[in-house]
Amino acid sequence: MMPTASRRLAKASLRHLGLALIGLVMVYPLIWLFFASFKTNTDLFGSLGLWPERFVWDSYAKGWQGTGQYTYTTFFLNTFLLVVPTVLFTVASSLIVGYGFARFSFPLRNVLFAVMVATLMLPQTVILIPRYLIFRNLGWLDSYWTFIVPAMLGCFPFFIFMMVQFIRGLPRELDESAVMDGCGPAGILFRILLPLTVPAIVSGTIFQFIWTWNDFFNQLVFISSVKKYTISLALRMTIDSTGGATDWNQVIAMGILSIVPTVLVFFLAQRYFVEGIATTGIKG
Amino acid sequence: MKRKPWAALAALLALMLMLAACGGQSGGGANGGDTVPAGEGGASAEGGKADPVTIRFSWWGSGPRHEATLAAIEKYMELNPYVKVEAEYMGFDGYSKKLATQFAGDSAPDLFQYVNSFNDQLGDYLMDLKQAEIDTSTFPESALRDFATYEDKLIFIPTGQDTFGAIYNEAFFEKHGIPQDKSWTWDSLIEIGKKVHETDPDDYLLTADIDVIEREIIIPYVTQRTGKIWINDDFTPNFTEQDLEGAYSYLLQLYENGVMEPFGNSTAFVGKMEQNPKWVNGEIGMLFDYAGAFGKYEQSVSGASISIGPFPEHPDAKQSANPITAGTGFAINDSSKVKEETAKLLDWLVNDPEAAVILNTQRGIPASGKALEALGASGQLKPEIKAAVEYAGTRTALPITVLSDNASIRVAHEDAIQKVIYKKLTPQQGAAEAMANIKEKLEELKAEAR
Repeated sequence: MMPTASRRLAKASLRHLGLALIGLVMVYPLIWLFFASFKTNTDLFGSLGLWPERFVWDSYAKGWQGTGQYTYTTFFLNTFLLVVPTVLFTVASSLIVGYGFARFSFPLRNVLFAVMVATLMLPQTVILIPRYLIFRNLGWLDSYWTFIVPAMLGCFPFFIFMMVQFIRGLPRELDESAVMDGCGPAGILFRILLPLTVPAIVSGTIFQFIWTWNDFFNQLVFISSVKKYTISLALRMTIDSTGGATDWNQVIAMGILSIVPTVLVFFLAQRYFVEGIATTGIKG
Repeated sequence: MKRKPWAALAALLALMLMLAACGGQSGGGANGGDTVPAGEGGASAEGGKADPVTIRFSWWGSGPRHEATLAAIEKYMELNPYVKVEAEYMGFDGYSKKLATQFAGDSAPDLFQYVNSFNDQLGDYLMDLKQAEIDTSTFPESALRDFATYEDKLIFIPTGQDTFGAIYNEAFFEKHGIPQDKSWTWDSLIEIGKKVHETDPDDYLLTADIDVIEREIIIPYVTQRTGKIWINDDFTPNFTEQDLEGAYSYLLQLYENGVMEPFGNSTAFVGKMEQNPKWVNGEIGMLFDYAGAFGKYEQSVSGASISIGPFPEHPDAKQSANPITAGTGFAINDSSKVKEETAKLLDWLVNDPEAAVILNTQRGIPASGKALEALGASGQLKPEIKAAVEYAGTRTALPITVLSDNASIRVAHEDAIQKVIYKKLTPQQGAAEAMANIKEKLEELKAEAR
């Protein structure tokens, strides 16, 4: 009879090996991308190999210099200026609006909720022109207000919906006991519910961070000064599909740097992330 | 754990209110609709009589074009200290969408790079440059008439001219004993291409993606025979089903004889043939593209010389397939508040000898004779590109009209071509389907134009 301990070990190592292999397949494109940033154009398109035939070491330094007037220092700063407030306000406003829908009854609540959910299904392209006109009349074009103000005002139904679902899953008895202890509505939200919604807040943060960071089209339309360009605009700035040579290693090098923040955020908050997603669905 | 989130949120809310207040303020300041006034703009007070002017200028391109254009702008501002040019540059993807949104929102730039395929969408918003103070006498009349005119208005000034060429790998030609000064016919392509592939099964004389097949094989094959513009301005096709059938049969021969790389392989590189590994590795001898794209092909093959030769022709061709095109240029926003100053800048960019040298061939070979002369004298013009355009100038060719190059018609046509390539349809059936598709699209376009 085989000792159970060693059998368990064998099983575990087999499982780990399998997972590691699958993991490798998943990360391979990223690894390839990393090595590609050291390749020449000919090398990039001429072979499928991972290892560059001839290393180009200056792609990061040259890429960082950007084209023309601004370096990637500007573009990174711009991106943070746009993304960080947008994410914070999205989460804050969604939490407040979600709390309202989940815990209070007021006239037309169901109608408003239905409208809110309906806007979830509205294609972005349909509202692009009206949004553009509104922002123009407000004088916000070519500024980050076009992203930040909607975030303040709870314009992201997806996150509101997520918060509603999450808060509905928290027992009402908690609220009631807080009322007994003399809490008002704000007290209930901030003292009782907020600590419990951390997983939902974290998932919202991650989602919104990655989506805003990766968003190209809205930034393209609303931002026109190169000095206000974000990374996603800067990366495309030199790729011209109508002809003209592109130094791909520089584009790829900057592409790699541009995904670092999103990867970091994801890994740092992963634990909460899984919890947040899992609980919003099941408990509702 | 219970205290912290509360404090954080309170801080957040406070910040939110603060920022909201700021938002209102900055909104009031930038309400002009034209441009956000620049902080350091007032410096030109001693510049003299002229009031400071801000011109927004947008274009697409890649690194070298951005750098050249920025240098030119710099120079212009040096010469005209009262003018401030705000550059808005980007890659081509999304350019037309952004421009369309800006026009819809009445906040489009004053000056912008333009290509006549935008005409359908944007033609009506452009200033008639006949009324502007721009020296158009330096441009070939045909370029202005055939490419830059829309509903009797001169809507843009072409910056460059270009023509199709056969871009080839010299080492490949040497290896297979093909003379470099060969003037190709459609038949000699097959004859030599067949030999090439038989000598070395890895090698193909040609590669072409579906766009190139449509635009640079099928259409020239037909129009060289008919001697007519592909599609008339009155929305009728200028070719017959028999013409198409002949071209499709020819295309199949290219594949059957191993002249052209199998369609399945080339199709991964639509619009970026320079990334095709077989081209990069010197296993493809030749491809067709605009001479202006020469640079990217040259850069993609390291250690080999790339050159351009003339485009194939039937021995009894009624016209050449080397038409000179001038469809890209600079246009001015009709609702711009600084039209006059913008026109001055435009005139300088396209005509001034100094600007010509700075901009070089970043927007094609200068269409303005004056600019071309200056660039030629500076010795900075790539000889291959110059030769290709000069050769094209010696041929009689009809221009590629906007309708002939219309994207939706091309897609309708390409659909039928692919069915023929994949043998879902015979050339005859394919021709019938293509004709029906194209006519249907033309009807639609005609209805829209009314």
